[in-house]
Amino acid sequence: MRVVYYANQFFAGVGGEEQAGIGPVVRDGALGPGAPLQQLLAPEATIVATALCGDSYYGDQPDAATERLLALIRPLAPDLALLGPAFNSGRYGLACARLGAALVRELGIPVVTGMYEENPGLDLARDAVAALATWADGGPVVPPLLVVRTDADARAMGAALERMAALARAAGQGHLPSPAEGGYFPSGFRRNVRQEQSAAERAVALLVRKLRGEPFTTELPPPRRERVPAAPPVATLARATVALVTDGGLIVAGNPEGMTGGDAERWCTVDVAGQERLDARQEVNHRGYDTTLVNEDPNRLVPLDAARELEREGRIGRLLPTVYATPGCSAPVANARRVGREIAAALREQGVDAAIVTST
Amino acid sequence: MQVAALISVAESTGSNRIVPGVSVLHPVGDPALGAEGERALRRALLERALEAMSRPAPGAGDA
Repeated sequence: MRVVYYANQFFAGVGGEEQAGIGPVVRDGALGPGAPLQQLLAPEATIVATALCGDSYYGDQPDAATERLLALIRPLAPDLALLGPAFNSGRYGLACARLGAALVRELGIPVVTGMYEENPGLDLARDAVAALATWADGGPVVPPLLVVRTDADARAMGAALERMAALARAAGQGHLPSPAEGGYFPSGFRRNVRQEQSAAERAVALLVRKLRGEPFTTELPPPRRERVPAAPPVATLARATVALVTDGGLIVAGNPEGMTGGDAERWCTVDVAGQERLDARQEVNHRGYDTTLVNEDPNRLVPLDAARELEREGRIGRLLPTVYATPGCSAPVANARRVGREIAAALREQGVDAAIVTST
Repeated sequence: MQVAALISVAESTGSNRIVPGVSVLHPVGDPALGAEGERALRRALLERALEAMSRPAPGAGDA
């Protein structure tokens, strides 16, 4: 099996942060952690070359860097690629995720990398896997971009490399272990597997173990809590521009923008300049809850009357005279995230310091 | 920051400054209170929102 290894400028031995701007290069053989990886992979696999790129170069020009690396790696005809591990290093993790996704997509080879669970590259890798996945024989075909779990820093290098090599070997043989066995992050796709016992029997057995204080393994982990960095506090409210936002489906009366009651892709603006409270010029269109009461009085959804009081009294500097609204009905998180980012960008452009989102 | 009746949903998506809303059907209203009562309720909720905006988010450390 021919393998290409990728590292950043530091792990490849070129230099530290001062070399983070170097562009993509390929060198013969196994550099940096590639050397112990080579020992772990022998004799079935050989690392034929090491590709490297500065973390800052990759961060500043991700598309150009990826294209260049693909062009350098393609002629080497690898059967598999090993990247990193990046531990908790964000730029390195993002580079590994981007390059890994490109190699899976363009060369059709398995890619094994490694990251700490908080590395932002992990989300990018997961999104790439979701985007590249296809459907066949009633099940998902999950692209082989495999991210091994590592600790936060390079003191755990030895363990990380062992996991990566073992997973690479298994991938090469076409027998991937489960994420739990192989120590890699699950893709999020679910496969149907036939069980000996019915779900009822398994559920009761699980409950009995739990009640007895015995160890148990859940079949379905609850969704992770997202980590969103909190904004710092508003320095001076009396000088702040505040905006009102809602996911309850506020619209301009008559629906001139043709908003649906649950289109998770769209948002709209509702002009409230000169209005002291919401009135017949606004209405609510949302099919996810009974809108009778908020249509009687839209201030029950977006508190314009109270917000204007605060503005008149100088408690806040200024209220943005535009409400940003979406009908957040069964919105997939990815869509909601995008809508939120777009609204945030619009608010920021208008000098808004804080937003109050009223949610149904 | 967010005014929401379904707090656990808000938390699970990473919302980090949450003031409990009255109801899914009327986050900042309450038909039982009458017009003046509802205005006062909204004022009180917004005061809590201003409070939340002026302080670090609960449990916020350096990312």
